[in-house]
Amino acid sequence: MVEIFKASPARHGHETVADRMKNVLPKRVHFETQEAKEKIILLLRQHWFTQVGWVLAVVAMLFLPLVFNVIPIIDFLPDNYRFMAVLVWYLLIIAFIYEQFLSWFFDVWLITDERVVDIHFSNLLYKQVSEAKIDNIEDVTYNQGGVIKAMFDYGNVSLQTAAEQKLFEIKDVPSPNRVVQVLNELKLEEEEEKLQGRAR
Amino acid sequence: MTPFEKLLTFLISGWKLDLAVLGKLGALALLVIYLIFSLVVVRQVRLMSRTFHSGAEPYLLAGSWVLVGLASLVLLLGLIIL
Repeated sequence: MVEIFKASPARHGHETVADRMKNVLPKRVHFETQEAKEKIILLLRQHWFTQVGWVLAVVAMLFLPLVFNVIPIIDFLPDNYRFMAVLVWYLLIIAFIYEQFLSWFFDVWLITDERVVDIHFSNLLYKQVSEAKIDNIEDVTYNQGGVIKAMFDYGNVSLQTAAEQKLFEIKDVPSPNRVVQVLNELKLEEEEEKLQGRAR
Repeated sequence: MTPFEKLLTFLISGWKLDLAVLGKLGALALLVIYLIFSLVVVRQVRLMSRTFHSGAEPYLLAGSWVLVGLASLVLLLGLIIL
């Protein structure tokens, strides 16, 4: 009897999206409001190419002190002050890199078998967590405008929901077509669960 | 000259605008603010890790403590060499 409950749903004909994707599910990932049986199907972050702007800015900032050798802007300062100015400059660059990386790393979208969760952090001090239930999603579309987005295969996925927050946008994610496909599969699964009275 | 005016004159008689002192105070204030910022980063990494956990958080937390260490070192250096 216990074996029946332990058995995989696939063996009883209820293969879920999570079962089908079990080899590619994000491992060791969980979030604050995750329910006990909730499975994370996709963990999405902005495509790496969207971060190139600040990386290039950092490269330019790294070489800025060399300009002081050519243009004597801070030559009026004593040597110890000049040394400290350069040191503080590099310290600021390190802080900038770390802050940008953390903002990117923790700014995620999670697609679970029950909902889409948007965890948004900006400039370390602002946090916003929004979510849309899969069964509230009415329409899923994606757009991939421009040469760069087509070349690096990333774009925006828009979810039209029946909830208070009507539009839910997942910005600059890799392979948006695959994301839409997974969301549609989850929508179908949720509808099936409702019909069979298995919805959580 | 009233006694109060005498007092004021006495108080400001030794004053002179020393740019070196102002510069030093400004630089040290900046470094103290940086140290506070790095401590805020540690706190924020902890908060972010509570919201979303993916296994990399111990490394990120270690990174933020390295930032605190760097900020402290540079502040110390500032106190010594400025």
